[in-house]
Amino acid sequence: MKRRQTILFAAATALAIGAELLFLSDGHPGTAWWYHVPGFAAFFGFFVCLGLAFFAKALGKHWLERDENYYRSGRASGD
Amino acid sequence: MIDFVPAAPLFVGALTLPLLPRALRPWLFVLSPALAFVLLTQLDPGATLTWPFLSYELVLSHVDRLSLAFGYVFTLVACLGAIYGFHLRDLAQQVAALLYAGAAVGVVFAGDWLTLYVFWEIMAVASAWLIFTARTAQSGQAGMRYLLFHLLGGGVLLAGIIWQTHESGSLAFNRLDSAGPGWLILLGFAVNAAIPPLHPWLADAYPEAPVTGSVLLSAFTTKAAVYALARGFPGSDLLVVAGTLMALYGVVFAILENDIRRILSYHIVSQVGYMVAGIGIGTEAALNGATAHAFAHILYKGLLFMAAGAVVHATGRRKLTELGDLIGSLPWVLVFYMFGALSISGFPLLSGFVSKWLVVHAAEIDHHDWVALLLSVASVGTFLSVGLKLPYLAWFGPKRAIRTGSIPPGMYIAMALASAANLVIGLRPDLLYRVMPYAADYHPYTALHLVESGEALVFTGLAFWFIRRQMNPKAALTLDVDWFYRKAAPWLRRNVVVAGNDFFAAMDALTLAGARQLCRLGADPLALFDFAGDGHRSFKRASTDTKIRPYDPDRYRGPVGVALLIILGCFVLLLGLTLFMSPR
Repeated sequence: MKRRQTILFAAATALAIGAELLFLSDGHPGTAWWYHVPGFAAFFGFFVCLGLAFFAKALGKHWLERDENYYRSGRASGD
Repeated sequence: MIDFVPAAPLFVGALTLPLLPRALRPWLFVLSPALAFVLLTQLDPGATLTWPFLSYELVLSHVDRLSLAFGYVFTLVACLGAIYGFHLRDLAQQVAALLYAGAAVGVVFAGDWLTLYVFWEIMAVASAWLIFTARTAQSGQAGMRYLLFHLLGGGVLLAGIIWQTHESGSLAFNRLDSAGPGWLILLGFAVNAAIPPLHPWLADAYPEAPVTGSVLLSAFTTKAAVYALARGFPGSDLLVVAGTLMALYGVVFAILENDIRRILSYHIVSQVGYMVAGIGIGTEAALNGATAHAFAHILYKGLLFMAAGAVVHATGRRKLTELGDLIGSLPWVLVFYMFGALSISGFPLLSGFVSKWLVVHAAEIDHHDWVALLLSVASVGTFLSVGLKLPYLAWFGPKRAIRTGSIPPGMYIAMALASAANLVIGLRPDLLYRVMPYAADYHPYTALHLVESGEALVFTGLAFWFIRRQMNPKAALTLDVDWFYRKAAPWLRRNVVVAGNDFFAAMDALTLAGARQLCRLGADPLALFDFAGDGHRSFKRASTDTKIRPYDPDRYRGPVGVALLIILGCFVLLLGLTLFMSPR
């Protein structure tokens, strides 16, 4: 199962970089360096997804998440 | 020159609904926005309707391409929302919905500050009423917080309008600088646009509204504010920063959320961020992008709220930790939901692809590269929460004993129509670009753009697949900025309301006691020296004694013997003096 996943991931990466190399010569409207890195969008999507998920989860675990009745206990809501 | 306010069919519909038999009301509920849409298609840019008011001339309606774009989509989504709620037999909800839609249309055609403010406040009250029509304890509490927030925002807006009118001597709704009165007006708009930290009312109240109501709420308030910002503050650098941050803020909180309608609510904050950033960039391409994204967003977000509402309607549940394995019972809802989810994620062939990337493209060509990059980060987060996590857990999550009820045909029809609208815009972006405020020269379907967006989406999907078990939400509440006022409320109540009440009650008792004493003394001044009657009475006793005794001369009249004794004493004294002092 893990091997299949690894093969799938490698194939998708190769396809992404290949496709972008094919069309990158079309010229990107943006001038920043990352627009001209082949496969940037693929890595961006992958790592930003992981980063956002773990950042949000850590934020919740260490700071923001409370019991569901947090505001109701002690009539803290002021309602 | 036009002869009518474009919102008139909606207001007339709201006022006529109570007069109709129950069975006919759903028809008028649908026909009013449909008629308003048809009337809008007859309007040409430049048409105005004026009304003299004191020394001013109010511009009740001013038609231009920007207001028409918002007017079209507002009436369209009101019509779809009415079809979705065709099964409703709740007069209050129907009237509130039409008033809300009418006020939103009124805002986007208002040509002066006063007209704008009046419609703005009708919108606040009607939307709060719509939330209250859920008739639950939570909707009552959240609706009250929502109303207070918006009335406060409206107050700030009014202060800015008065200041602006005083300074400029004109009520005309024109472009402003974010200085002086502009700051107050910007703050008033920012409340409705849900720009953090002024946003918590949105995720607090929208999930508590009835399911049809939340479809309309997702469309009007924030987008009317986007329109107002686009007209009043295009090119404000502050909005570029605020919009980019709110796009990220919404996605981070949505990842943590468990309630499906709260997830969608946080994504309103995020998506409005794109529009606000576009307005801040302020170029023609960026303003087109903000308008196009508002247009598409209203359609796909309405669709997402319809699908989420259908789940809530059928199951009575709203949390991902209580949902799962709905694929067998609600497969068509998933199909329609995915049209909305893929649209918001910017999938090719759907509306979000041709609108969202227009904003990002405008940022790129205006050299706001970091803004474009951060908006792309928000796009990944959107796909993660709305396109992957929510449908995965709700429709393919663990099996639970969920009894699903039937979904009215109107809900399915509305979802199908909204899906079709998103698809048509995705396939024919020229139809959308045709109604934009400026001529649009943007071609979303270039090979490079398709490859890049496809890569980002596929690899986001792959990343989600690797961490899907870590994405299970907790049955928990996420703190947001509302913590400050919800936690402060008991302290404020204790120290301001209760202490104030106690102080006023004490002053009240003291004043009443004083008044009673004065009345008593007025009726009987000798009571001040009252040792003859009842003797001395304490102030406290006097204050509680409500009986005022009139003056009674007999009460102070001594016995006859005393008078005779005094007279005799005086006689003896005089006689003695006479005898002793007479010359011998």
